[in-house]
Amino acid sequence: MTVQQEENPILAPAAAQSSVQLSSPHRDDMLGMWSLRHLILLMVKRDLLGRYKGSLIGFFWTIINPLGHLLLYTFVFSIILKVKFGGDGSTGNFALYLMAGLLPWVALSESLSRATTSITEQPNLVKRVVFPLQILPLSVVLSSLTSGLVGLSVLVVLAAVFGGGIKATVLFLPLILLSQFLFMSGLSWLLASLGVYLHDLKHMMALSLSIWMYMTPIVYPSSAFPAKLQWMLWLNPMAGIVTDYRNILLKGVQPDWPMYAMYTITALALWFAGYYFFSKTKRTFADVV
Amino acid sequence: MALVELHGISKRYNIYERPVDRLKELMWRNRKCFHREYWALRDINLVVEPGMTTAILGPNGSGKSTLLQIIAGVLQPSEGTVKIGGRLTAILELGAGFQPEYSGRENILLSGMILGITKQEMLEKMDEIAEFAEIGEFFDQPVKTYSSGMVVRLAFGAAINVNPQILLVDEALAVGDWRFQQKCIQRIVKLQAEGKTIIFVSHDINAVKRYCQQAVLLNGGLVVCKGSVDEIVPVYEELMETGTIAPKLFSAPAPYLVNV
Repeated sequence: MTVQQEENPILAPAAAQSSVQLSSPHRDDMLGMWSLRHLILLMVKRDLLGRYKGSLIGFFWTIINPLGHLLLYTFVFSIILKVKFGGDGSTGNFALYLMAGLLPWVALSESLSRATTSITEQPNLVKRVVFPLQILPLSVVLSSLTSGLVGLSVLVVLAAVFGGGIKATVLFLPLILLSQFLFMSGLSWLLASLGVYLHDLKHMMALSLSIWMYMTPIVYPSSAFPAKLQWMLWLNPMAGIVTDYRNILLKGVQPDWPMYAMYTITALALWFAGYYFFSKTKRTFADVV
Repeated sequence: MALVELHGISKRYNIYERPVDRLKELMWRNRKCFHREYWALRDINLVVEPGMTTAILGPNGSGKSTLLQIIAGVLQPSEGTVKIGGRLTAILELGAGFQPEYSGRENILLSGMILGITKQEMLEKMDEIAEFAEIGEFFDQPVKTYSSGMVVRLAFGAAINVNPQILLVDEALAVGDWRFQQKCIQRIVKLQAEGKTIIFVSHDINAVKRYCQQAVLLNGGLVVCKGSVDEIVPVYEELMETGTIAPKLFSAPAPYLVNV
């Protein structure tokens, strides 16, 4: 029996250095999230069910809402403003192309808005319970992506019926989805953390997201962007993501690989940076919330 | 081989008149001070051996809840170190982590998973907890439909039945009707017999005298004295009756001390 063993049979020597020994049973790093998967799943499931609980039509609102927006935008942009999209430039085509861009966008904008207040709206989970707070923005992201995925499935069916069959490139969907997930999660953690300290942030979200949406080729094709300003599209990961969704689901074309690499690397960087920022600032949430 | 060790724990809050003062300080790069300091805790040293039941006593505002929050890991201390060896279950506020839209069953699952208990284990214990809490058919109804008594019974049932190694309780020991209270007491005594460590904050002197071996008396964020329950309780009683209770002062330099 070494002296060290006698002194500290319960705690590992390295752990004794930290200021607060984790009383949380979960690892606080990214790998810990895997051990929390049941908890995350429970929260996501609850979130999806809870959204429309008590309403008459229930889950169908997830389809009706984007559908309503779709019809509105189609009317305004295709019929009134006569914006044309790839293919035959018809209104029906416009609607499909719009949907392919709008659904991923809605998933992003919804989760970013909700993530910003995800910590501040649960002061009890911050101050009264030892809770792995990093789950909160994450479950918001997963919830939005799931409902977005439902919408995209409907789109694929519609495209098959009206747009000439299912394209083989649909198989690339998980790749784009993954990149979008990484992007959204990283940003969500960042916003969730900032939202604790900067209460103004949640008020800025509506306008910022609106601006961002129109800077992304959702209601217009990316070719409509002036040639001189095309570089802006490269800076906006959502532009690449939306374009790739359209490519694989409607055009039957592979993702634009250079662009894919660009936004995926950005997404990965943001994923790590966002999580890191969140974990560092997490410790003082209880003082501020 | 202590299970809970606190060394030099202090907690300071910076009190700003207005939020903009925070910004002003940042811009002056902390050379100009726009805040006043409030020390909720000052230099707390505590060692809790495994198997001991310790009470934290003190008047309102002496820092008891803050101390518990720091031990639980919910709050970061401004100074000092905390060492915990073992699974810690903290009941800081009964039902605080509950989601109103989730059912009682789901909330128990949630609470268990938060504590790091596997879903499987939690499901096995579910019936035991449901029976303990005496919620009846409301177990599968959203918690927002519960009476406050039901919420605390459920929360307590969940916390106490998940085999904690260290249990922290903040003024929430005796809930429900007398019969339910007896069940809680029995369960706590069982935990003690199993050699679990319990730390609790209470104003109930009788409970303290009955369950605890050790007690710590706080006043104004300082430890006034600590020792066996028989030594400390009379000091506490005297403090409450005749002594001076430390006022909550901002930037108070020398904290109040009680004449023991």
